[in-house]
Amino acid sequence: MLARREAKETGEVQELSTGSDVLLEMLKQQNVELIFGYPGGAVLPLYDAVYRQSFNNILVRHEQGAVHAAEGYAKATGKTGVVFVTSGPGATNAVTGIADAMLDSIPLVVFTGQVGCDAIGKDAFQEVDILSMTAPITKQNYQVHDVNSLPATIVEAFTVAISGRPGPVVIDLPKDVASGLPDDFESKQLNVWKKQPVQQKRVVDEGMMLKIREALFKAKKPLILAGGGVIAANAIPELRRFAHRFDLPVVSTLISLGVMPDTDSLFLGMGGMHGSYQANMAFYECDFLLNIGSRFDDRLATNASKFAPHACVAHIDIDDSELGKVITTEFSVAADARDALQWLLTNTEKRPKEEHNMWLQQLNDWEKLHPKHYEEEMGSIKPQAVIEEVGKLTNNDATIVTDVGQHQMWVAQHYPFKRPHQIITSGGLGTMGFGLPAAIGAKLAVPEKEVVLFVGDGGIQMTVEELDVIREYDLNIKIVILNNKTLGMVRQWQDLFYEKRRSQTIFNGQPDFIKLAQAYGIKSLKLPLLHWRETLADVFAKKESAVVEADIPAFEQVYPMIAPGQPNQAMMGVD
Amino acid sequence: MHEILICKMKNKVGVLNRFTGLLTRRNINIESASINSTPDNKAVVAKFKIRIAESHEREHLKRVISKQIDVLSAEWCDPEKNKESDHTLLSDIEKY
Repeated sequence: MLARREAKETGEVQELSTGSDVLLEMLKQQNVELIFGYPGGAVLPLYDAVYRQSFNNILVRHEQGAVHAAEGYAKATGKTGVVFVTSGPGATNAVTGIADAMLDSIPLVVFTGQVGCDAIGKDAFQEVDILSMTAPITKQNYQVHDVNSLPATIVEAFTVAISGRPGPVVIDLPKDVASGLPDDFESKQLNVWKKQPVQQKRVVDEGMMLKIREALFKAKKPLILAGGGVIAANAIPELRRFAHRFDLPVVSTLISLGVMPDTDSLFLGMGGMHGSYQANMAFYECDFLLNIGSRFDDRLATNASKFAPHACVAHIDIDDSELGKVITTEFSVAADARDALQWLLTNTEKRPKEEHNMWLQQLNDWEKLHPKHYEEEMGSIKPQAVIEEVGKLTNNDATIVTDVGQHQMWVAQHYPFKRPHQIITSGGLGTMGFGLPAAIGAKLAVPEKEVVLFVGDGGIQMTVEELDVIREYDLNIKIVILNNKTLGMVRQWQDLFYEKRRSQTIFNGQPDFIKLAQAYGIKSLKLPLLHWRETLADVFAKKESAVVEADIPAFEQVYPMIAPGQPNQAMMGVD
Repeated sequence: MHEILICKMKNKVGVLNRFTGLLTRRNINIESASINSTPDNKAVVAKFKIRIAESHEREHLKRVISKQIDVLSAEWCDPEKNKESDHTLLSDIEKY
């Protein structure tokens, strides 16, 4: 409740702002429009302020959902997502989402409730040491012991979350701090904190950039690998201009799909374990590889020692700890992707296209030799066909959210992405259950966009309770469950590398997903074998949420595939 | 091979926890450590004697440590030049 005191001189009762009120005021100053959260004992003062100030809180049904929703919101906009959870189990339930955000460099500020300062360390009810737990999975974390230090802490947290390489920040808030009375905060005093501390900007190392330029000019088979850092730096126009000015082919990662339109002749698709044939062959054959903002993840560079064996490798990344971490590079520059690309655009003159015409022709031939494809089968609905059909129905412009597994890779291969922030997926941590809450966050972030969630029958059951949020807020999200009644990707690995011993990957029973969605008040239907395209079109014609279940073949494989530890050119499933 | 890492960090609760977590994750043991606050009490300077199997991990570890928000600087130094601090630590231990 709002604190009250009698003024000494007049005896008049004054209403005073608590730490929680100050916190919400600070969020407004950071342009936070909504938060994702779940109340509990330790955050009672915080939620009391939310109530009194009518702050926009999206009440999720599980704390993991709150963090994934905030991730979806952040990924769809590039803004910082904000989460409120209570202490103890509320905080530990948020841990998976925080780790997910850390691996995918997503800016979040997560407020965890904490028991009162006097009770910390005494095994109080719902007390955990969330600072120690989250230290390895956050950019920074704080525990606030003095209500007067709250504004500065919040400003610093938001600055840390979004600056440099973005990531999650945790602020642990003891209950007595949240309900404590700060010194007299006037609005103008709070304004002092509006001005964010200036972040030191990395200066592009011109000497190293000159060397990169020289290597680029010498190359006969140049290649750009554009990672998530290009999107985080808002460097899409610069990347596209640079690639086209010098006719440089571009490979994306899973996270950076959309950096180049799928239809662009210079775009080779996603590279890595389930990447396109031409992208992986390009890694093998190129003589100069310019990696901008990718961390050479092991799903991309499947065998680091044999990756790009003929190439001179240059690496540009905002995070200098990524340079030389996985791949030994000839040239490395710690810089913002946009600054580096702008330098290259300004300081590199156009060279004749014919210098690597043969290379472009080779890439084109590879694509023709092994285009993305799948076999249509009578009597079944192929997941790849459903994804392509959704592409047509959404003019390739929907914000696509995925969960994790086979369907995630089929979406990466078959949905024709054309813009940044268009795919929202769990890349680094590979968190099943990510999709549904992330789709909620994405829809709230970009309500004008069609938002489509592709999810498997395993992943939907991990956070299915969030369907209730879709109903409550009447969110127009299309949910496509690709149901193969198995944990498909794990089963695929068992089939390929464990002699088909399908240990615990076949579901012997499932809920009726149609009835389950109906129980949550959401329209749902199963795609019929005949005329499924027409049925799907009807669903997408309506501006309302829907769950669509497609029964797909149980043992469909994701191809191409590179076996773990094999080099990129050793692709399985290419004829 | 033994290495000496000298870090200057903000004098705050939890800084060492975050730092040692980075070493634990990489299975690096701290063989000796000495920590003192700066005269103004705003920072601490810590020396860690650790063993790193692969020499190329030195630079990566330094960069990972340096990017921590509360780490002000991190440098490797020649173990020969830091024998004195080891001896100081040993003599301190012997007192107990």
